[in-house]
Amino acid sequence: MLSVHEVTTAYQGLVAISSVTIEVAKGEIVAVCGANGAGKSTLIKTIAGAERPRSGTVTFDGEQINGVPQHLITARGIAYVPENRRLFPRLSVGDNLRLGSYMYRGKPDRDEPLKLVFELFPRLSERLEQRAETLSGGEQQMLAIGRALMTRPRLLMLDEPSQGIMPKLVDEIFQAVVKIRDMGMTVLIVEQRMSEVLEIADRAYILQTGRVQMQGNAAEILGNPDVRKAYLGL
Amino acid sequence: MTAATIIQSLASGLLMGLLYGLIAVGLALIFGLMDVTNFAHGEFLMLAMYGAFFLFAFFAVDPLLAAPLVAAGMFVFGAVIYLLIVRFAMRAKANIGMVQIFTTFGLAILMRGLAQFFFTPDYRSIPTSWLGGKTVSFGGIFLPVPQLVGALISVAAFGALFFFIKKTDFGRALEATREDAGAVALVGIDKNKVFALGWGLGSALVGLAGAVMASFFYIYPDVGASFALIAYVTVALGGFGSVFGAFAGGIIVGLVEASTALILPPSLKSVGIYAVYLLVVFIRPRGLFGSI
Repeated sequence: MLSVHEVTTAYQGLVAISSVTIEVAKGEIVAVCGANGAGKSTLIKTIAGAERPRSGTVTFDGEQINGVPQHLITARGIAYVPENRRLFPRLSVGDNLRLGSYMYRGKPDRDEPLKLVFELFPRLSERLEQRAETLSGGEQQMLAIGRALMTRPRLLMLDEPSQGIMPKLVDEIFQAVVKIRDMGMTVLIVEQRMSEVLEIADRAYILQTGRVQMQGNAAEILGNPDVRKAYLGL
Repeated sequence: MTAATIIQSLASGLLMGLLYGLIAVGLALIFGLMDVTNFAHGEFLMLAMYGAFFLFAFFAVDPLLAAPLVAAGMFVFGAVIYLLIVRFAMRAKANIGMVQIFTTFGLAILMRGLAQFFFTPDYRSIPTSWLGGKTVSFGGIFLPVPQLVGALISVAAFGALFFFIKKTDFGRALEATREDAGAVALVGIDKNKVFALGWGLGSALVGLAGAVMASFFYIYPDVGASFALIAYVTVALGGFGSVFGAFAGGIIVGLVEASTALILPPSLKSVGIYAVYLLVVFIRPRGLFGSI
């Protein structure tokens, strides 16, 4: 479904990822792990169209999407939830969700994914009138995922969804990711909390200083003694 | 000074204030949306006044009828100015604030120069119109009909703008872009379209004001300057970027101007405005309704 081929992206002359190749098949949860500064966020931003690669190609459903403006990539079915969530802070929870379905305005079934969002995150339905900035960190993450789901993505990309969230909610969000996959969507998730994300992922890539260091089945990576020593401190 | 004179001048001040508000709202809208101050705002007003004048002079269109046409024309003009000029100014890699100031300031000088060349520096006016010269009286207070209708148009335009922003999808997109222009692509919105829409809308509002004012002000290439100055004060007074603040600020400016004229000689009528402005800047620098 998504294939990133030999992609190199640089920020102000500094290469953040170099010759990265990853594949995501339909219906998978794929995790991208690695330490801070390994290039995980750059990879996901490059796919989303927020950064342009210096070389290489990103293909989605057989069509090359690198170079396509970011809003059109969203329109093609890739929803991206950035690290800092980028909600519209002074707009209400309801307005944030409604903006998610902006592309479907005028269509009768515009707000259909709303049911799904409330099913995954019931607490959002109780806070529709509240400003987004008044939500807790975990609720903001739920809203950001909810807003992304309103765009009806086929591929959902999450950048560090566990960041700044209390452990109980991290679990809730990871369980929601599994449910989202079970509903037929594909998920690419960038995460520093490796042991937790590998529990729910099918496959994983480990990035180190901008290169793919290791890849494979999530369970195998979790069981690999070198990984356990280097990344999990076990 | 009798009570009747005071009420009479406050009523006129209110009418003028509503027009100041209408002029300033467009400026505040654009600033709030993208942090760009349009220093050609006065020239946009001038262009709209000429638009109404030429529609009258060539096609005998009454300014009242011309107002929606001029507003529509100014909508297109504003959107095109964004797409062809401002958009590129915003790509500056360094000193972006300066680049934007010089760009819109340069546009102002260009527009004035072109107006002087093509329209000549002569003072024009629309001598006869449906409403021109008529007055109505309410319990001893006389109000000129063109100004009264202008004020009503201003209130209606503000109501429509409020509805548009709060109740429509485009309005919500506008609010979202104002909050975080970099995030709207996440929901599939092209921020450039929203910016163009914002410039169009802001220009249409000042266009409406210009067409209304064309029936009771002289029209000449520099006419925008004094109104623009008042508009900047109004926007700063109301709170930069606040659409509601700009409107309220306009009313305050109109009332203060009228009150000053009661006490001081007419040539000093602007002193009151700037005094109030200084006071606000000292006590509440973000403006009366500003949120930042």
